[in-house]
Amino acid sequence: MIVDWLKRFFFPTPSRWFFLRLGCVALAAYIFFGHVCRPMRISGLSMLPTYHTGQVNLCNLWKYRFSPPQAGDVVMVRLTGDSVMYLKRVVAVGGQTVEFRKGVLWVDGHPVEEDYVKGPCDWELAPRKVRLGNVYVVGDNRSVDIEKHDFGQTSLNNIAGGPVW
Amino acid sequence: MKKIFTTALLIIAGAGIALFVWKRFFTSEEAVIAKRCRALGEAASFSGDDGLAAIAIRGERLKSLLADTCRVRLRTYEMNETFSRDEIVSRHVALRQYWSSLSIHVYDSVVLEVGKAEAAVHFTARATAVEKSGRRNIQTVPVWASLKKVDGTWRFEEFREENVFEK
Repeated sequence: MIVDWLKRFFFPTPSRWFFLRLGCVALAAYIFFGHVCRPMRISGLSMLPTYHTGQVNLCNLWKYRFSPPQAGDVVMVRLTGDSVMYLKRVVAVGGQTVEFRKGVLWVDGHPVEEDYVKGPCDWELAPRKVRLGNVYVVGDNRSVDIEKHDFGQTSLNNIAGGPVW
Repeated sequence: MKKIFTTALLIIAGAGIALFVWKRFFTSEEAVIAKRCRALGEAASFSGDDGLAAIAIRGERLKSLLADTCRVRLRTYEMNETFSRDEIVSRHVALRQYWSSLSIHVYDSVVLEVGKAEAAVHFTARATAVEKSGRRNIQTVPVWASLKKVDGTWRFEEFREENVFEK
């Protein structure tokens, strides 16, 4: 019985219903993986230790369709499209002031405790205001030199979504 | 039911043929420019196994994609210079002394404007360079490029690294 079922499952008889089912599955996969949750492979050290090179995740493209990202959210930032994106953490939103003092993040003049940052950090960055319609994003790996780390404020339009896990 | 199924198959086949003909004979300038961007990535890539003939062919291919002079502004490498085509090709060949292979992939090319003789495009370039020691360096940069039409062919005349973030 199980053998018959497996045989039917893996070697189905091509009928019009089979092709209809196949078409439906292909369409559902295209919609889900193309327009709802896009599979992504993580590459780079910017988000260590939260995300490692080689990890696979899904980018939820609908996560910020109806509400903007908040401080603490991990987001995917577009470069020129949706194929390759930066993975960063939002640390401040429009209207807030951001600075780094001796490696500690300060937002609106208050130090922020970031338990996701594990390595040593000696960053110094003068205060700067995040413009409305922008968010300030930084990677979790602050052990790298501040000059070599891609971070800063970016438009909300560049936020493609967020990782599912 | 069989008739409907046959009709549906014929419609799909017809649409496929129409799409092929459209792409083959009515290619837009945007599609041509996007193809040039991908060709640039392929021409700039190399592997350690390339013989002298392959190096020469790659050099010619790269040259055919560039205008007589080309301005390169890369913030990551603190480069802001104008080179001739030959200079770019000879510098590209010189990279083989340091790297055993270089792989450049171009993603998400978007044509920003296109005129009769000038165009602007931006794309994401992902370069993987393998040093002689085997160490891999991966760099991903958003690039803005301008092109001009020379003898009916689009050629790159400027590259500029774009900023996604403002520190």
